[in-house]
Amino acid sequence: MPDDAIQVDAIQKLYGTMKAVDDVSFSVAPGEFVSLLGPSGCGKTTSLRMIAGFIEPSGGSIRVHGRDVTHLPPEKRDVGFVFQNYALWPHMTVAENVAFGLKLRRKSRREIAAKIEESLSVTGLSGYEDRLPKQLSGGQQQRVALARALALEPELLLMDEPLSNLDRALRVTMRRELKELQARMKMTTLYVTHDQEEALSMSNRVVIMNGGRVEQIARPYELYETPASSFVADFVGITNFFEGTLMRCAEDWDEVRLASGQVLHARAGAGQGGQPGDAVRALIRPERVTLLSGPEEGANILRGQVMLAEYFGAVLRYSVRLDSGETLRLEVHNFDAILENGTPVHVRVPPEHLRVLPLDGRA
Amino acid sequence: MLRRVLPPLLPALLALLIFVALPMLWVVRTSFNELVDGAYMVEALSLDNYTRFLGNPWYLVNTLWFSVRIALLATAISVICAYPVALYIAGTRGLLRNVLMSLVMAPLLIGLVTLVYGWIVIFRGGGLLNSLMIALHVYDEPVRYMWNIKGVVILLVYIGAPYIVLSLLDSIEKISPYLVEAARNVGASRWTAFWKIVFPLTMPGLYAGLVIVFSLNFAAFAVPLMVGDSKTQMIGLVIYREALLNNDLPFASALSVIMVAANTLILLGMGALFGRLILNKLEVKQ
Amino acid sequence: MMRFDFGALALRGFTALMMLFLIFPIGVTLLVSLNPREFVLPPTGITFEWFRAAWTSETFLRGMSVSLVLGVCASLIANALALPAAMALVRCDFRGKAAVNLLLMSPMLIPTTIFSLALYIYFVRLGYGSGLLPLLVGHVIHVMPYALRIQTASLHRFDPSFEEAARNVGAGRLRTLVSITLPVMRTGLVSSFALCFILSWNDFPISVFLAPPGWTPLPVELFSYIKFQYDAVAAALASSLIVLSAVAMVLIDRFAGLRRVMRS
Ligand SMILES: Nc1ncnc2c1ncn2[C@@H]1O[C@H](COP(=O)(O)OP(=O)(O)O)[C@@H](O)[C@H]1O
Ligand SMILES: [Mg+2]
Repeated sequence: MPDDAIQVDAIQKLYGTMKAVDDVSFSVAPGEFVSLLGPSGCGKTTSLRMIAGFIEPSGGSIRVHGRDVTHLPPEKRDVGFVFQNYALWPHMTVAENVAFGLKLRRKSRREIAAKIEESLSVTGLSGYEDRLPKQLSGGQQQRVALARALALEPELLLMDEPLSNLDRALRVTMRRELKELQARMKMTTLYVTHDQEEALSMSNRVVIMNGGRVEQIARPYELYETPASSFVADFVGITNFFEGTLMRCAEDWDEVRLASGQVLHARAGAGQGGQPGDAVRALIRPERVTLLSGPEEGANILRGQVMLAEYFGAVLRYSVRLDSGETLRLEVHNFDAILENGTPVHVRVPPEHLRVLPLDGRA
Repeated sequence: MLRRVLPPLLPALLALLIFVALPMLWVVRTSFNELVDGAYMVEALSLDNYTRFLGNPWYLVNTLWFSVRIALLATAISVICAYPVALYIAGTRGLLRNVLMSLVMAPLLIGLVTLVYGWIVIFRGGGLLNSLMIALHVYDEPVRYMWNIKGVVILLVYIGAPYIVLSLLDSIEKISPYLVEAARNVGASRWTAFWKIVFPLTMPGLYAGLVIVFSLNFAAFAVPLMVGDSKTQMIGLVIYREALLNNDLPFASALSVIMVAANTLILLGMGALFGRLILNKLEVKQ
Repeated sequence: MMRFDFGALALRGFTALMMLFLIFPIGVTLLVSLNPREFVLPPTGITFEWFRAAWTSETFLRGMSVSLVLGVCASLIANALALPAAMALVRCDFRGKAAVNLLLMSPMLIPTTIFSLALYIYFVRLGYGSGLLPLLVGHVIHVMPYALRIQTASLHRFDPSFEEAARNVGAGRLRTLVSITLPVMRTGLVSSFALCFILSWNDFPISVFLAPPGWTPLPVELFSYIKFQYDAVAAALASSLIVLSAVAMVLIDRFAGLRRVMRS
């Protein structure tokens, strides 16, 4: 869309013959919070740094509010950047760090002072103006980095794993604060992370990357519930995978036969236009599998034995060895007892939650 | 890539080209020129300057061979002095280590003339050492320590030993203490552990130090100039004298070429010897 | 149980002797320069008379100013040449990088005798035989590898995201260099400057070849002086040089690690 805040079109980055970023396209609407999520080395940082102008793309184009910035030097782009290691200038105080960009913009002294005060107060740093970066804790440094970027009121804020250097408790707090601040200021944000919890909880939309390519772009809920590929299903949350063959595609239901011979029903259309005989993967989330209290008859009811019970407090996860040979993980939230290993159980795989994906070349 | 890399490198590289490479080439060229009375020199292509040195037994014995001997002697003494010091320093930490390291490096940073002054005060005929020795009746006549071979060797060792300590330390610190502990653990005595484990592993550092110090010693001219006498005709000193006092630039140039060639040959020989004797053994052992 | 450890004791004793050997000429010089009875021992007190004489001597003052100007100029130029080269070496990957690095360090490998002679002949040939330029060039080339070494080390520790952050908030290349890169690197630059200065200030071999008449640097001046007399005034001057070198050593060590820098 022409009124998107960022439009990334088929950007590429080659290092020698290695494609660090390969044909990546996505856009971010004004005020939207979009995450780039993927395993380490998948090209998130490289993509973000191309948008900021630190790396020259090998191909493709980048537009910010319709303006082509692909070949502009970083100082000519109105894009804020929060670095993973904060990159606070060690020889400048907090206030000087924030003021540096403002001075370059030839703002008046009054304006600069006001802006420093404002951006430090929204990030909760009032009173720290004269500290040097090394006199601050990790969390405070993170806030300064944010304040420094926000003070310039950029059209767009880029953040590269800004919370990854904090300990876990602080990370969760900062995640909430950051999201609140972003929503309040309606700051268009592109956020890089390898932490799926962060991406799912903060984003309006998530771009999932793998091996330099985009796997899926979707809202967090869709991503989790309807992953477009096995990679996405595996990377986001925990999933049971079963390889098998698509047996039947019909009005009422589809059928998959697993390698063991066990047949599972899925809702009609789950096969996504595949033909009977196609090799497929059947996916089911552990929390969607129901543990039955006793033997029942019907489709998708499987028998097995508890192999392992993992207790996480609110959640209990069983690994069940099915009689047909597969291992199935399932999660229970309301439970009164923990079943012993070896206990025979019956489980049901609800057809409406069974996803069937073509067995593509990708992992 | 070249367009990005070349501009920042260019000033330094140009400086080296204009003020190192070209002058060095020019030395080689000058060595074939001739000195004519009344003129600085005239362009020629003659080997006279080389034959004048290489064909003269006096020069060969008293300058070339003498320089080799003094350089080897001073290097050997430097190694003997430096090895235990490096071993000891490697085992120290904190303030003691800082003090020791500062003392080791002081001769490298304090100017030669300054240091020479101190040595002269100590060693000259009526100097501190002689006064002390005579007062203690160790000997009656002052002994000559300066302005002869002794003085030259003492000063070369004084400047050379620190380099060897530094390069030995590089090697020693790379040796994992577990190696020694493992050797002790399987029953090696401390001496055996040193001799079989530590010593062979310090050979690369020792060799690096030897190369530097031998080259420095072989080319030395300031030291023999300051504390030598008419017998300490080291080749560097002869170059200095021919160039600055006799204005015989062609001869000085030829001597420079000979000096570099001789130094290279000796280092090659040393490398081969070292490789055969010690480094190979090291490989087999590992 | 403490065993009598002869080996360790011998090692310690030998090291102590060597340290004495290393400190001896320095200590004696300092002693003589402070001893009111010139060379007579034991000293009866402390005097700064010799220092006063040294620091008011016309010859020495002239030598000092020559050395000062020479040292400052040579260090500035060497560092200015080394800085962009160090940046290219640290930040860019290119073929032949190792060779370029070796080339830039090569002045360390050439014996000063030959290097000085070469420059001398070269400038005679160019007709600059007795100007100040050969001396300055000699000093610049002599100290440049050291500057390059310290700066390379300090750039390796420099986080490039400091510069990216500056570019990101709107600073151009030059502005980034002046406001961010140089200030962040200042400790490395200070030690680099200190090392270059002290090497130039103390240099004898190059100066003796290349110094033109009337522009004699201090070490050469001191050498001509002690050829004829070893009085306490010379000791005072030598002591001043020792103190200055010590200050530089501390500076360099604080910021760059002396040992890494002095390794050949
Ligand atoms: N300067 C570079 N030279 C060569 N390869 C690089 C360079 N920078 C990144 N890469 C490679 O590109 C890939 C993507 O890196 P990056 O974008 O940093 O991944 P992420 O941020 O997703 O962890 C990685 O395989 C990395 O090794
Ligand atoms: Mg990254």
